[in-house]
Amino acid sequence: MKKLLKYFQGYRLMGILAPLFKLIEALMELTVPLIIVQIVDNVIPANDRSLLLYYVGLMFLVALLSLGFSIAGQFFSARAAIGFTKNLTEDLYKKTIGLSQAAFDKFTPSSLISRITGDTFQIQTGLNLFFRLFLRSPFIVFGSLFMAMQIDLRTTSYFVIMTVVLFAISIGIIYITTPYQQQIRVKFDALVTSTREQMQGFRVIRAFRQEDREKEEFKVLNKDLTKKQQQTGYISILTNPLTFVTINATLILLIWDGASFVNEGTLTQGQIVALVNYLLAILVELTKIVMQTVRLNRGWVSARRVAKVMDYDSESDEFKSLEANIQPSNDLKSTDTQEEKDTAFSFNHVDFQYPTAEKDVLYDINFEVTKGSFFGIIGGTGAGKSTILHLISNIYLPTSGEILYHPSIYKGASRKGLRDEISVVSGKVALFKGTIRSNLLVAKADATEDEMWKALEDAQAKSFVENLSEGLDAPVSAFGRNFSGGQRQRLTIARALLKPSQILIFDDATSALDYLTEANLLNTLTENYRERTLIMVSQRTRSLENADQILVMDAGNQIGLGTHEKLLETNQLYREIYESQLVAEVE
Amino acid sequence: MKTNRKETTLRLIRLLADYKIFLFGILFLSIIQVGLTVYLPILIGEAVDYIVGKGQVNFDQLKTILVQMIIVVIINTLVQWILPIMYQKVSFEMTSDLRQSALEKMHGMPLSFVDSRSTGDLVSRLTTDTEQLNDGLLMVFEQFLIGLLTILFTLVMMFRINPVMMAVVAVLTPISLFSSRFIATRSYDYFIKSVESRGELSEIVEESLTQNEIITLFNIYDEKEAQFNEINDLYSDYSEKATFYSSTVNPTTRFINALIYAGVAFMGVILILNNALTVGGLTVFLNYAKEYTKPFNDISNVLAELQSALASANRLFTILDGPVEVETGTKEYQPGQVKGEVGFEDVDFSYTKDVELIQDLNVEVSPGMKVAIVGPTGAGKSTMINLIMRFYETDAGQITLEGEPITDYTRASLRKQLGMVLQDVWLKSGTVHDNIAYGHPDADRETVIKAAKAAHAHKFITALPDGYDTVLTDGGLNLSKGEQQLLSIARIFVSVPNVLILDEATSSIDTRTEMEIQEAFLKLMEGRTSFIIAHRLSTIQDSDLILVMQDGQVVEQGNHHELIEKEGLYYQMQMARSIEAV
Repeated sequence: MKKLLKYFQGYRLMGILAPLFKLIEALMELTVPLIIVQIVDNVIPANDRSLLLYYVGLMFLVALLSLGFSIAGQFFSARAAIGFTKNLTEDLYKKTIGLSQAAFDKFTPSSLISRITGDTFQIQTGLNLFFRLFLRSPFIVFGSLFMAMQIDLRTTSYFVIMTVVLFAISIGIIYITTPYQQQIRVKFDALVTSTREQMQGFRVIRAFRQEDREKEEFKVLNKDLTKKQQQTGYISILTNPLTFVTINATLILLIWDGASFVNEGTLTQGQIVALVNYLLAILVELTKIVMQTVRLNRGWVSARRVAKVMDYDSESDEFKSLEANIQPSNDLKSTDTQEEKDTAFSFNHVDFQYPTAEKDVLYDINFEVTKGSFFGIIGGTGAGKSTILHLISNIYLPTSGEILYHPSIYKGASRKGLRDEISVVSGKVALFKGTIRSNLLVAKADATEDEMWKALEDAQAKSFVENLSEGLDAPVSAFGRNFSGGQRQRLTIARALLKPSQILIFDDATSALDYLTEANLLNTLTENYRERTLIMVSQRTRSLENADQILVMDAGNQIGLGTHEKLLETNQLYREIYESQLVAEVE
Repeated sequence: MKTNRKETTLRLIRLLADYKIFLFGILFLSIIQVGLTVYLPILIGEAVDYIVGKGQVNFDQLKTILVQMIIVVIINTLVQWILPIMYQKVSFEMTSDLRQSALEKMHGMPLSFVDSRSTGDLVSRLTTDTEQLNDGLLMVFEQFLIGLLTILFTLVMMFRINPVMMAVVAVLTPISLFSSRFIATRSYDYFIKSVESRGELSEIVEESLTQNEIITLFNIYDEKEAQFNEINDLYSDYSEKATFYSSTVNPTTRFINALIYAGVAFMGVILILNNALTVGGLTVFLNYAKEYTKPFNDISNVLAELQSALASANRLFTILDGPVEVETGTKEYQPGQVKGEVGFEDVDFSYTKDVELIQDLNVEVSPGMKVAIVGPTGAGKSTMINLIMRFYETDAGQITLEGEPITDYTRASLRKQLGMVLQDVWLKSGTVHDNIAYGHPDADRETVIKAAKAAHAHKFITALPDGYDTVLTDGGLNLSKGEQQLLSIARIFVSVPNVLILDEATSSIDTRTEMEIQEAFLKLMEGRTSFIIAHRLSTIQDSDLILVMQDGQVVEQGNHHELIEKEGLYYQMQMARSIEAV
């Protein structure tokens, strides 16, 4: 938490001035009852009208100064709160995109998103509130107390006891209701989940005639929520009557004792009026404090959520302690007699388990990929194909075993260096808001117009991009939503081809392409990108027929490795997959 | 729009009328509360007047007044305790009832109403909007009513003390309303801008976090950061302006009130000097002047809040006033009655009046037939299923089951005869067991396991941490797409109906598992009529009847060999095998 303080950088002065100005404003306000005392005690007995004008003028002046200080305070407060949040958000975003995939899995993307957008907003609101009110209100409370003491020391104990009791009441009620509030949140979330579920499932619900059951389920949740809300309400509404009775009990005592003091001649009528005023001022500010505490608490909770991300280490660029698992394959190279049969990389008894999972998803994976070869990976849903790709590009690290890279790929022993040599087309099509050009430049910042068109052509995307009136500068909306699935996929392929890398990875990336387009793409790849090592994950045996080697995966196990022809002969699973896709062609 | 708001308000009042007794109670108690709150300063003033100076304190009179004060305080405390209990009860129960009726209403609405709206929108109507309405109602009771009554009472009280001063205060105070409105309109533009740029910011965050892998692999951290910072700067700028401008409302209002306060003090003293007012009277008056100004701020806040509460109520009423699916028949199918003879007779249907879809569709299906429906996206394949399931009603013509129009029977009875698996899997939060047994909540474990085995789901289910008792969250987020699909297939194996409808039921399952399931389906379909929509042509070649659809029409009918020989659309599709092209 302390770490977050550094984001006040550049706004420190404002952060101090804001509450200070609000304090001055509060001080000004405190003088008003004093002026009234002067009027009652000096002006009226003396019948001095010019003195009256002086005091009224003074009140006007105080009001004007209050306005000035208050507005300046609001300004500094907004500045400081938003400046802090701006710094924080900037850094939080930077931190977040730099997190390792394992950290991502742990936090889940949706929670990270809500931390960057929602929580920072809560912090901003909380801070602004803090600057404006939280120093001002206690100050008025204590200031009023102090002023009351100046007038008459004997009544001080009433004030102190009242303030303590009021604090105890408010804090006690907040303390009691906070867990209730959380329970309400949980119940409300449950209701939202159930509602969303039902809204999405109308067809199935009707088909299985479960309408009444769903209504009943909703009713239970709804009743539950309402009951909890009412319960909480009954407790929190106690604040008002309790505060009221406390303050008025004090007031009555004050007047009774005050009357004796006045009778003795140790207190004046005007001073009693002032004491009553201070008492009421304390009440107003205490109520404010109580109301704001709830909101401030929300900001505090958010700050803790943000701090949790900040405390997490970014993915390091250096391999550091991981050298045991990932190495340049110097030794491999030296055992190879022929230079051109260089190994790009190899898996050596690799096991892998996702950080959040309980079981391994890869068991003893062993293979070697020659530079410039075409390597295919096939298998059913959940076989571990994509996981292998994640390991190659070092998004995750093997749990045991090692991955060895050719020194030209593993240059500089850094993740960045490794990833510079790997270009990926993800199965989950991913484009960013911007233009086609900006999305392509992601792959190669200094790509020329010709290079981009060449990549588009090879990715079978040239024709549709040409047809766009803005061509390369055609806008791409977030996630590339303004393009069809097939078009998006071809754009991501073009992006990958443009990147000057040694290894080209296709992660089930041709699924949204029709048969003909896919065939053309495969041809282009084998003709124009010969020198690159091609790794292709696919569900279709057709796409892999020309591969130099195909790895067959089943439930995390490597159950076959060889060419298409060899696997057809020796591997039952491969044959089954092949045959299941063959039927149409036989006709 | 304005009359709409009026109607919504009236309707809310009518709904509140159900709580008549409570409402009278609330009004009564509010009047007492405000009356006593206003009366208390009078007593204080009188008390002060009895404490004039040394040796001039009238303790007897003071005592009577203090006793009165004690009584007032006790009563008011009780009122302040009971009043919120009453209005909370009214507002929570009313919104909860509204929420329940809206949900129940939706289950009886035609799917066209639901389909034309996004899930997020419907959900927010039922949850956020009801909350907003509740907040609004609470505010009305808590601040609006009390505020209005306070203004009335304090005006009367100030009038009793001094009519001239009261007139001055009454006229001047609303000035602050103008100043706050002036500021509000200025800051509104900035609020809009800041909300918009916040939306943009969220979009970037969402985009880059869900696609984080690309940022990592292409190493474009710096670019993304620069892009983010640019918008973050813009947002911060607008946000700062909006926050600052809106935050000047309070100081300005306070300033105006302070001026009025000083003015009143001045006038009051002059009156005292002319013996037209007592010091106690001035004290009381100043307090009233303060009390009088406070509700103005509250009321303007409430009015703003009330606008959104009314808008929310309106959105709820849209659902409550929405169309209802009317039962067209009362007959029920008897066990054994349905053999699976299905007919489409001169069926016309379109989703929107101006875009024609199915026209004059005629299909006859004998019991036990395996019917495949193929064709490009948007050809109307799923529409046929919508019609058979009576999710939608035909515009003309009729669909028959066993020779009788399906509209002669109740929807529930018809749907009981049909088993449906859709491409978009729907899983409930709950255990795997509950999900498989969805259509038959009382099915025992044995039946469920049998169904899961038939759907080839048993293997992966047993690998889950708690097997059949594993709780699925977020619509089965912890399962793969294929696994989710297997579960929804298992559902219809619990109790197999006479007619099967499979809409791309195996689209996310790998081809080898799909083949195994196909075998299971084949067994299942024996002697049963089935309708299959499949994008992999290989899975439907042994169908008894293939309906080839295009632009809402069945352009070809026949079995695989007949259609191949015909060399029509089906033949082309088979040759190109590009049916799954997007």
